[in-house]
Amino acid sequence: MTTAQKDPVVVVVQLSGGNDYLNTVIPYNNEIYYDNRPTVGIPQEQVLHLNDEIGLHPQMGAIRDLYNQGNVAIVHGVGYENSPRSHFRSMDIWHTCEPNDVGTEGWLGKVIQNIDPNKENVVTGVSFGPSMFRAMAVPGVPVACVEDLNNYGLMPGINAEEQRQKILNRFSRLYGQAIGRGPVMEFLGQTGLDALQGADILKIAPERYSSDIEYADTTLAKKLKGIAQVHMAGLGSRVFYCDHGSFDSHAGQPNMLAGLWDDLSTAINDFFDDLRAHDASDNVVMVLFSEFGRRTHDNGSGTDHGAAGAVMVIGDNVKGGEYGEYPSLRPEDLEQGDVVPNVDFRSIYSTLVEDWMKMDSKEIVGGQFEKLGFIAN
Amino acid sequence: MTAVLRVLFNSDFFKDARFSRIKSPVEVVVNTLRFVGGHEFPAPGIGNLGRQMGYMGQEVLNPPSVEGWHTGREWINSGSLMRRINFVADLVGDTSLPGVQSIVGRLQDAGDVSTGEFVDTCLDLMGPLDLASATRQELIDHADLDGDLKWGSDEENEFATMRVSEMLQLIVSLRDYQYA
Repeated sequence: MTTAQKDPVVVVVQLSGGNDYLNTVIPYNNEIYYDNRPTVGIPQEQVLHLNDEIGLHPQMGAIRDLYNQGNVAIVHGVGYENSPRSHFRSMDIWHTCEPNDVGTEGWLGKVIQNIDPNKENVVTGVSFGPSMFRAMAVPGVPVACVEDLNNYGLMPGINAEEQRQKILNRFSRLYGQAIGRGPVMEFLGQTGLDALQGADILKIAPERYSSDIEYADTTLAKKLKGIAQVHMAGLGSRVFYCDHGSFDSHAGQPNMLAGLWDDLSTAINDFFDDLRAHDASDNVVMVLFSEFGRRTHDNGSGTDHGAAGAVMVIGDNVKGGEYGEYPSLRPEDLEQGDVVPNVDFRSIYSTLVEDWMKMDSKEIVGGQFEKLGFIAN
Repeated sequence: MTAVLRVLFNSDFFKDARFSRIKSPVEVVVNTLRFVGGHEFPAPGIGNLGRQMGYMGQEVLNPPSVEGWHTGREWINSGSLMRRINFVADLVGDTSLPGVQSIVGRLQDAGDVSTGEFVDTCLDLMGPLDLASATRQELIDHADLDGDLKWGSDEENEFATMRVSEMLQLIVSLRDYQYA
């Protein structure tokens, strides 16, 4: 269960806030796009053309290069029926695969559980950011939640290492006690021990890491560098998660989106360069998703919450190209002014779970969904 | 009304309700800030303190759905537990804060004490917290590593203050401390 055996690894990058699909994968030959985007539309000559129909945002040069190398799958029109256009509800749906009920278990948490049912490796799943994402959360499934890999662990505020170690040793004894105060107390004990063990394992990663790649000084680049460090340390981590944003571009969208995609595109490029330089890229697939796309017509400064979006899947083992159809922008085809999803997001999860992670997806995504062919092997 | 409240407050049901549910992130943050003091609004860094609850899984005024938050054990995962412990331990380990100074002062006023008295006084001032005897014994064993708590010279006072801070950090990292 280590990366040395080249087990498949998935890295999810959540674009929080609702990324504007139409200005990310731009239908630059469609007049309706420009009719609807008088303020935030990207001029044809600035679009990074992928073919005669669509192109990418001007700040996505590195992703365009990866696309041209055949390593980027763009899935069009992704979403689900009756988009609530609410960040929280929509993100919950993407995290739990429960569009009708409020779910508590995340799809990636179930993947982690499936990979490591006996919890032999508490860093099978690693989440980068200040808080854990519901997609990774299943009660009893350990996930390491890392904000800063170089300063990760319990009580990092205690500077005297000897004193800290003394407290952690006692912590370990205290959390290992069976004190017979019910299942929640036992659960707390196990969770504490998992956190302690995870921190102990992960501190190896920065020590083992050496690279000529210089990541940019951005929050996202630090997260992806952390993921690269843990992945290349061979600790058996199989599921990584981080977020980037906010993409909630109601106002001032042009500059906002340019900055966000510049950071993202550059960081992804450095991440894959780093992995390739260490012969560690061929078992990694990265997925970019957002909780919804944005409205077809701009609001004079930005765009408001919409429905369908695009998902990108990136990696050496990804069969690049377009999947699904770009949803119609014709007014009569819109729903409440939004482009309509034509690919259920769970189709993407099913493809990843079955064709990449090699496990049954039905329990994980809550049903059977048509798979897409973006995995090469 | 007096009779009703007397019965209610003396009932086993009422007494047993203490320390039987997991604190919400709001309770963790607010309780801790009230306990350590020194963060009255407006204060530098108050914005960052406000975000801590979100990092622990409860973004105030932004529940995941109209249903609200999933509470109880669902507040806890390895990420959020680490956040909770680190947040509280950082603050109670800061002996410049008035609430922590007050505990140090009260222990100093009590003079030299045995490790058992040291632990019990800390537990009393932190809650009071009612611990399983095995847990309390672990804390005493920890205190025993440095013997009785002694005050006197500057050097002894400094060492005793550090020990109090360490004991408080250990107490707030207990599973029992996650309950309200």
